[in-house]
Amino acid sequence: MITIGIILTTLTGYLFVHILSTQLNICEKTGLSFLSGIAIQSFGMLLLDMVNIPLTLATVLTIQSVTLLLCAGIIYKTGKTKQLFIIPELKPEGWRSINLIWVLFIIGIVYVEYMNFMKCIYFPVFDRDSLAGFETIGYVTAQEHTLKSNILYNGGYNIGIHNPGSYISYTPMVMLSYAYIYLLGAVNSKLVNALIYLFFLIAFYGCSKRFTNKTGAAITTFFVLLAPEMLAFSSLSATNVIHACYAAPGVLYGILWLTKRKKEYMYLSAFLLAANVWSRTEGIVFIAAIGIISGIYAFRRKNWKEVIFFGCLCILPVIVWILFTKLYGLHAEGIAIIRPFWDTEKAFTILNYFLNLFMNINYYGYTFYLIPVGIILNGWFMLKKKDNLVLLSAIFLSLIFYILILYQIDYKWDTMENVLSYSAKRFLFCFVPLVWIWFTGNRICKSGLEKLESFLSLKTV
Amino acid sequence: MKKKSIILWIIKNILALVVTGTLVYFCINKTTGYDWAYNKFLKSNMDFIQAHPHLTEEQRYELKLGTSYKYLMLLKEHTPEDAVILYPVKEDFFPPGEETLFQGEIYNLSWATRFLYPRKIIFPHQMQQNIFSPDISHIAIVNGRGFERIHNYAGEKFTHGILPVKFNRAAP
Repeated sequence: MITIGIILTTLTGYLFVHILSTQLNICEKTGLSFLSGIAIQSFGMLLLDMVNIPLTLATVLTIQSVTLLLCAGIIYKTGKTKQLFIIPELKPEGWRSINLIWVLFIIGIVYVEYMNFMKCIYFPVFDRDSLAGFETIGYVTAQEHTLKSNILYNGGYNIGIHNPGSYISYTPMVMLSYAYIYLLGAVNSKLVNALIYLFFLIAFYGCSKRFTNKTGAAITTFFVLLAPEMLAFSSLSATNVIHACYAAPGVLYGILWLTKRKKEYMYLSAFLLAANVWSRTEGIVFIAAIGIISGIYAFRRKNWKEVIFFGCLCILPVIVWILFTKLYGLHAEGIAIIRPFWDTEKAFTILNYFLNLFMNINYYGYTFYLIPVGIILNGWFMLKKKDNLVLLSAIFLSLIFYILILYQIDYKWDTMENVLSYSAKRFLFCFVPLVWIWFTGNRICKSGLEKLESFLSLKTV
Repeated sequence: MKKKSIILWIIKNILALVVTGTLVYFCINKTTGYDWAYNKFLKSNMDFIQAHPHLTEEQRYELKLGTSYKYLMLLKEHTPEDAVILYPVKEDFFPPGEETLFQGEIYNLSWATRFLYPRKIIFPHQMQQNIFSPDISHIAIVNGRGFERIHNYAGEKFTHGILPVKFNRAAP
């Protein structure tokens, strides 16, 4: 049953992504298929729970099948059937462009991810945040066939459930994905994490090729995969890596939408950013960053409609979630300080922690060192040609919003130092893919990689 | 149009492969973070997995959670599914100044629920608020602590275990 469920989810996601865009390459389509499928599945499960339909194997598979048929119907009606399964043509000229550096990094990606995948599914869930939250809620939801009324959300039993920082207020994608896999009969939920990260890597490689060439994409994917802390967390059940798997491509397609002016990228970006906030509430920072940048573009192009539509699509799941929590009283004591205030010590503590995180090779490898190096190398093109400036702006804006969120939090449930030491480092996972793509997509790097590819290629010049 | 020589292509690629391979090798092995990720995290876990491919789910849990998992399984085995357990608090699992075999947040309600479900657990300090307090059917004992929660307990004392009791709410 697990296999059937996973195939259904992947197929639904594949068709859904195809509806959004027919122009994606095979890696993007394949990679985004499971990512989209599981996000759609969890959204469907919430809707079922919202209308008091029990979350059983039969109901979740029914909603999955209905979505699949709906997607197939839309594809048939819109005449997009021809481009549905694009298999890259294996022409002799294609092989001639292959170089051994690309081969080396692809083998590296496959090998490292194989070990990571095996590690992920071999060990059961044991990390604190999952057992004390998402994993257990998913498990109990599957047993009790409801999220909203499960025993752990009962304030009369779980006394601290409405306390500040409680997981009752967390958006439910991860918990419902775990519930889904348990309903399918899994003994633990790690398959969800393993598959999400695997499919993310495939999608990321495909998406990277839009910013750099295939050798650059392979190098980028390899180093994103090898970012130490992110790699370690990708085989745990915590939500941060899952969040990064949606946030990073969401931002990248948003940048492509704005720079290439292709509407289908807007749909993809909106969907992925919606899934990003569906997996972790703080994903709103990426929506805000792309929202501001798209607002600037809209102001220049005098076209507000698209931006407003984009914004509405992005926040749709949040609205549904808020409605759900209001309807069923799933609330926790607020942790945000809404009024503006200035606290020098707090601000400097947060900035100091972030600076230390950026420089920590043990967490992110060389990722954040690439920003100053990239600015120095590509400075001239950035100033004169605005090269890759939009992506860099998105990175900085999101970072600023993240810091602002941490500043506006009232640390009632834990000390700020603890949150910064143990949680904030995971917030930066979303930036690892973005920074690597920004670096390899810079004019200097890109032209260097193109020269390298041409030098190592057998293609005629 | 100039056709490239295959021999030249092979030489250039092998040279590029050697240079890149060496760079990647040094990058991974000489950078603390990457070294940890590849050699310690991935490879050592993979070595373990290959050495123990047939461990059961229970054994894998035991590997990661140790005594905490064994303790929860002990409670599970000795209680019916509808049991309501008066459960130890953090200080019982981790007595201040004493060594303990437990690990993780076994004292956390959700954490323990993952293994004890559908059994319910109640902490002594939350008895007044908890709606299931009247239904307490068992008392969990850990590190020899918990007997004081049973009114006039005169039986044999032990280190870890669970006692079925008809709980007297007036008891301390």
